[in-house]
Amino acid sequence: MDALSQTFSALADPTRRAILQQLTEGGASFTELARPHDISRPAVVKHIKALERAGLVQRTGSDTRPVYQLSAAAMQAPADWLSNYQRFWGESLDRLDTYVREVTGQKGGET
Amino acid sequence: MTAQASQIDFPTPEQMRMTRWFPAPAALLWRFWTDPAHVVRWFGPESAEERKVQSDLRVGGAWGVDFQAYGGLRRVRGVYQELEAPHRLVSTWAWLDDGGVKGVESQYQLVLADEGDGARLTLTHTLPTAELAAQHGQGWSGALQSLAKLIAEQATR
Repeated sequence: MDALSQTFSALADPTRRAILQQLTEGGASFTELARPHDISRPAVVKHIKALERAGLVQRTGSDTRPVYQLSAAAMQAPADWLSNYQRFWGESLDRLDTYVREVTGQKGGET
Repeated sequence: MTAQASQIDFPTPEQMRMTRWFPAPAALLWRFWTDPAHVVRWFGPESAEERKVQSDLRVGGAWGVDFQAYGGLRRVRGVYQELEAPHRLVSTWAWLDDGGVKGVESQYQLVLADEGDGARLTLTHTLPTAELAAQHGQGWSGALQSLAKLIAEQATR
């Protein structure tokens, strides 16, 4: 699964979206994150892990008292995807330009 | 006439727009863009090799490009959604993973406008955030809107 798919797959679940919503208020402990959800602790753990894998949430603090935060990388992700497309299309259009000039017999210029 | 670099901007946090003038009329650029015999000559990143292109050029028709790049086989697939030859094309866009499973679908629009001795090409690639948000309705909106807001803030920094 590519990064974009993984992120959207993580966002497709209502509990995970609710957890992200909670985290927009700031960092939170596991207990704080789990409190509003009417599901088992292992289920909450699973959701948080999915968000971590997707790069949307990062864990700070100690192993015994972790603090969860929205990941700065997650905020940047769409910009990264766009910059990938920017590179992809930019290089494609460079080649297209070269090809057009080959076919039409025009000289390419670098200036 | 000299080659011009692409001009790039981001009309929304989900959109990348690229504009470039080519020394060929829109009708010719349209053929280069849609005819597999031409597409194999230019599509893909600088390192792309062994391109294979298929295209069923009609609304609802599928196209696909396979190529070798970044140390592996890359496959992109799309379906034409709007075709107004030779000026406008809208298509879906999705990468296939190694197992052939289609990833998230984005969309691009190509606009070709004759200008001077050639034509101006405008390509807009749109990520599916807004569409997904609409599909998922209310349940989706909260977290994603917050994310979108933060993204927008970052983008304008």
